[in-house]
Amino acid sequence: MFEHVIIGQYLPGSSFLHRMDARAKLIAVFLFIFIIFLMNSWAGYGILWAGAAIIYFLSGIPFRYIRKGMFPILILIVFTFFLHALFTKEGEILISAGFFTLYKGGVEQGLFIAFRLILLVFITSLLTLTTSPIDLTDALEQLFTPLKRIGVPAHEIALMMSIAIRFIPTLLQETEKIVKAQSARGADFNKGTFQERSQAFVALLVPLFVRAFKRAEDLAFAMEARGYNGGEGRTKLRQLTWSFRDSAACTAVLIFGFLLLFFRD
Amino acid sequence: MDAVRLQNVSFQYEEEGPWILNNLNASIQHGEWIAVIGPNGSGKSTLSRLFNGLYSPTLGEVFIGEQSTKIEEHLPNIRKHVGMVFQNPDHQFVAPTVRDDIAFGMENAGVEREEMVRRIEQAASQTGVERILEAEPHRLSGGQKQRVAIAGILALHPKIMVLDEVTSMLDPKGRKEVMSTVENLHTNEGVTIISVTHHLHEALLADRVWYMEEGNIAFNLESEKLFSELKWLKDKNIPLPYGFELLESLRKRNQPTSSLETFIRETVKYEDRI
Repeated sequence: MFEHVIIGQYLPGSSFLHRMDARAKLIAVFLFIFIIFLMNSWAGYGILWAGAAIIYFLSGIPFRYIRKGMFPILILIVFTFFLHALFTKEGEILISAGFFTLYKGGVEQGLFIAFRLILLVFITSLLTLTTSPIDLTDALEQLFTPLKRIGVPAHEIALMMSIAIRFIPTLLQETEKIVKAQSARGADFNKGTFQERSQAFVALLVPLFVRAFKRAEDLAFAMEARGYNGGEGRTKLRQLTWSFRDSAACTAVLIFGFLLLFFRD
Repeated sequence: MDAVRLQNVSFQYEEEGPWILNNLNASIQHGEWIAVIGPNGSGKSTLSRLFNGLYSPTLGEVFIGEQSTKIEEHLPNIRKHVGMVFQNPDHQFVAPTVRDDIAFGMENAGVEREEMVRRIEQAASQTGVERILEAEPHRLSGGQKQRVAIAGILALHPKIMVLDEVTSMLDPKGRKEVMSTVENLHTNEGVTIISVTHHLHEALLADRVWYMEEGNIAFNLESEKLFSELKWLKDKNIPLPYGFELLESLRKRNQPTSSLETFIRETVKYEDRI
């Protein structure tokens, strides 16, 4: 049932983006998103689209993967577009029919919001498509390390994330096993009214949770037995290497954003 | 100096609760292999968790070399020397890939990265997982996962390895893989082994057997002596390996020729592998 599940949506490769340090990618994406939200003019969005296109070509990712990532949020984009288009009453009147009026400012506002959402999903998809989840957690841990001083548990958060990622397939396999076991006992997850089906679901969730708690306890024992004692004095096998390419990419995005400030209305 | 010494060890999970272990006194020599057998609830697993300080004895002390597990400051060092493998292969795999999981213990111990890389290669080849270093845990068999767990401990160069029913959730093939890995480490690396097991034929691989009953070590004898205790074992409802059953019924009929008995003695411990 769950054989084809891919964790996150990482697509291994060797493009420029794939080879970039995960920390650099996170910083660049953060900057890019910042720019997206500052932008409020047609010219500005035009240039942003061009920038996104360049980044896309550096990723070597087939377009269908991006499209797949976009699809679920399409409804949200269309919905927010109409909401803004219909309720913002600014600028010239474009169409007026009875109590329904469409303003130029509304359409513009709607389109800008849609652009923002699309660019946002586009750029974050490129990040997760070109970076493995484990590199991402490592990068987050290192970027957040300075925040330890104000009490942010960077190492613990990263460890929790990586354990969660590691256990997703295991939990899916277990879910499949429980579904089969409960089906063999006569539980039906596909038929019946909503109420009947949600009751059948309880028969799935309870054993799943019970086992997950047991697993957590065992795992804690195993980690303690192997000398886990928090982040203090720990060394790391995985290394992130920041190269010239990474500094160059971050600087490029920074300059790009700075220049775009001139295109703000 | 003994590798491990139990000195008047008693244990209860909570005050007022029942005593799980009652005044145990025993010692284990360096390079020895001890098998701990006994019925469910006899305290085997609890005992196994005392060796690297996961539990601290309620009364008495457990010494690893000269260090007592009761003293908090000793624990990091004790855990480096006493590795522990648990029953469920899926519940002790922490990291996203085999390579990272072998590194986990070393990362905790603060081993330098270059050293880590070197030791991973070494431990992986000793346990036969060198070809699956990049694999993710859900793609591995139970036997492979247990061997990865052993590799992770081995990389810390332990003196003692505690195995808590490590083969009980494995299929015969996995059991065979894991037990030959352990045998190999015992013979070639001189690692002291303490293995809790339900399988008598695995107990025969050990030098000595502790039979636990109601929190006591009811007997502590050389594994070879098990052959003369067949009737006693049967009375205790311990499931006997096929070779034992055979020997027992041959003896009943006064039939074992000495060569047949020798053959069974030699082979019964490898029952899984035949």
